[in-house]
Amino acid sequence: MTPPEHDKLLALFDAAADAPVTPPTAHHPADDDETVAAFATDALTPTARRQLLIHLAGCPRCRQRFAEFARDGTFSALGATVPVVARPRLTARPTRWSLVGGVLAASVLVGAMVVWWVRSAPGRELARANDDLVSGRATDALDRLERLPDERLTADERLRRAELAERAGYHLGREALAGRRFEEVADVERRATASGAKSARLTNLSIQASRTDPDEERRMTTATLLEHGVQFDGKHVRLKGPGKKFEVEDRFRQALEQFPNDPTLLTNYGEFLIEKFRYADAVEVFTRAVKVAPESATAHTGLGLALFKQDRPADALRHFSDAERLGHGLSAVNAALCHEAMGDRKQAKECWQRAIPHATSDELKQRIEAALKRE
Amino acid sequence: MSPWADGEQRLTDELTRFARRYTAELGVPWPASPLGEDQPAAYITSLWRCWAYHWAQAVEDQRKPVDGWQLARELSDPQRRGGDVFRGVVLARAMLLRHHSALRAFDDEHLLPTARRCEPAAKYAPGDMPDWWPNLVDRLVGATRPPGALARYTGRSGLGAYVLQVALNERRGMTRSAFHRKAKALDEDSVGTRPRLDFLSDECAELLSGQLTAALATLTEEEQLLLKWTYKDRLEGQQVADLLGVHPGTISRRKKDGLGRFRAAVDRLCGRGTAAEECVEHLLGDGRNRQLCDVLLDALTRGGRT
Repeated sequence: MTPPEHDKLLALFDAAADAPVTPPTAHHPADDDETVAAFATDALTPTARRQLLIHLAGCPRCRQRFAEFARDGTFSALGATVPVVARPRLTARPTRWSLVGGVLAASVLVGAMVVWWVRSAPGRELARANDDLVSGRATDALDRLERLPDERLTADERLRRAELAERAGYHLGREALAGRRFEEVADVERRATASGAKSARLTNLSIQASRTDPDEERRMTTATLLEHGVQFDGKHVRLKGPGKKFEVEDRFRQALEQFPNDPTLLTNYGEFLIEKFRYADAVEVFTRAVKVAPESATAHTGLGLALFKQDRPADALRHFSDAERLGHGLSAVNAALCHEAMGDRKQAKECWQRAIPHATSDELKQRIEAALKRE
Repeated sequence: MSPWADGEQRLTDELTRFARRYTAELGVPWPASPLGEDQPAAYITSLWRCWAYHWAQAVEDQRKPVDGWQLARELSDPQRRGGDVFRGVVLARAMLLRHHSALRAFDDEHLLPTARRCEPAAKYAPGDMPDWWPNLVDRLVGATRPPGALARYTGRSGLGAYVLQVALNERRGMTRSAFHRKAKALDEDSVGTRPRLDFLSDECAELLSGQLTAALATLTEEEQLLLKWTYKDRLEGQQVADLLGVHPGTISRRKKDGLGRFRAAVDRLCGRGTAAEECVEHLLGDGRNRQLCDVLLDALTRGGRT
């Protein structure tokens, strides 16, 4: 019999398993028929498959949809659409010569296997590192990869080592960043890079650590203009900033030279520029982010914030509306403030009404209600 | 010499060659268009989108320059896993332009096999038409619900698999447009129902479920999915192995490893001396000598979740 406390703990586990880890996104791969078909027919490349699994781990909605597809046989049905190429069947009767040939071939095969066993030690180490990684022992994996001497690796093995080091480095770096162990992030990045790893997400972790920011992607989706000095009547307090060039900015620039189309790097850089009150530069960067990731609510929100700060509420409004359409409910607050700034009380009131269900705190809710009552 | 212009011309020539080859195979006229659309450009743009996607993916996977011409030959190979995607792209585009010969080819190559796969017991013969067929064709071509699912087809998967997935969704009644689905908030459109945690105070429920979420987040993505699909979504080991693309024989070991790490993380976050200690004591009642991680693992592995 199951003790009653087991039910409570299972309910707790269910709540934890269904908590979204990645920020809500407008793009759900489970809704994209072609992604589902490509996944089921094994047509995704390893990189695309990996990115999909990362999304599924953090998005309960897509994970549950994929579970449904597995349960109701969708994946098996889709898999059956892929033609299986039959292997040619051996029909000839074996002769004495073919037997002698077989024995010789077997001897050659055994010899080749012995040679392979001796020469493929790096390959086995790479396989072990992969096992470590898949089993969650990223530290062991990185240690193992660091011990592999560069000169003994073939070109393919070097690529494989770089890929594994990147995955291990990213996993360890993300853990360290979330735990605010910023020096450890830099150390992990250095170790992974020494093993050939190079990626936008690893570089991004390192930059975020140097900014002592524990978020991998700054949660611009929770940001409203209220946190940027704008009053409830849409007027903003002008803040003057030094606009000083920091080492961090050089790192952003270098990273973007290497990975010019990485949306996370672009939005983090844009957010950094807003923090430094360099709104014109921020507009430029966020415009690029929107171009690269038009479905990103974060990019639209960031661009809206920067445009508003440039006294362009009409342009900002367009992007806040896009962000709201893409699932960022709090953008209604930003849209209301744009209307307030343009003196359109009627539209502003409609936006305030829409914003109430998305208010993140009682205080914000009360302030919105007060703004609604204001004539 | 102008390398960019030359390269662009070579690409356009190659794409035109593919477009002409497949339209000829399908019996679709070239270049006249019944809808007045710039037909060659429509085919070439669709083919380039498909080629560019696979090219970029190949470069990302191999981390070195890839011979795009060789890749195009592979993509147009009918023996390729998933079939000849270029032919699929041209056929989808010709369907959207409503060419009769394309409709006939699509019927034979995709709709009939799809109907047979959706309802294997129905034994459809050529010419038969299931009740849901007109709806499916409408959804694919977009006669009453533009732009039509085929307009979204980019050649990432085989056309056969794509059409079957659209048909399965149609039959499930998931007829809502992608935009509608995208516009909905995550919680609102959640597939499962949120478990009730009313046996705990709000603070404790938030703290403990937050700590368990954090403990899950310390695992690798594969481990998180393994545990969530097994213990939350209750999938069989074989199904989880298929989803993760691993051998089914390794699932038990992976599950054991994942649970071990999850247990350690829960102990670290909810054990004695942590902020959650009081909530754990309240939750476990008289179990002052027990640890949350042990009881939780016991619940997962013995409470009907294996």
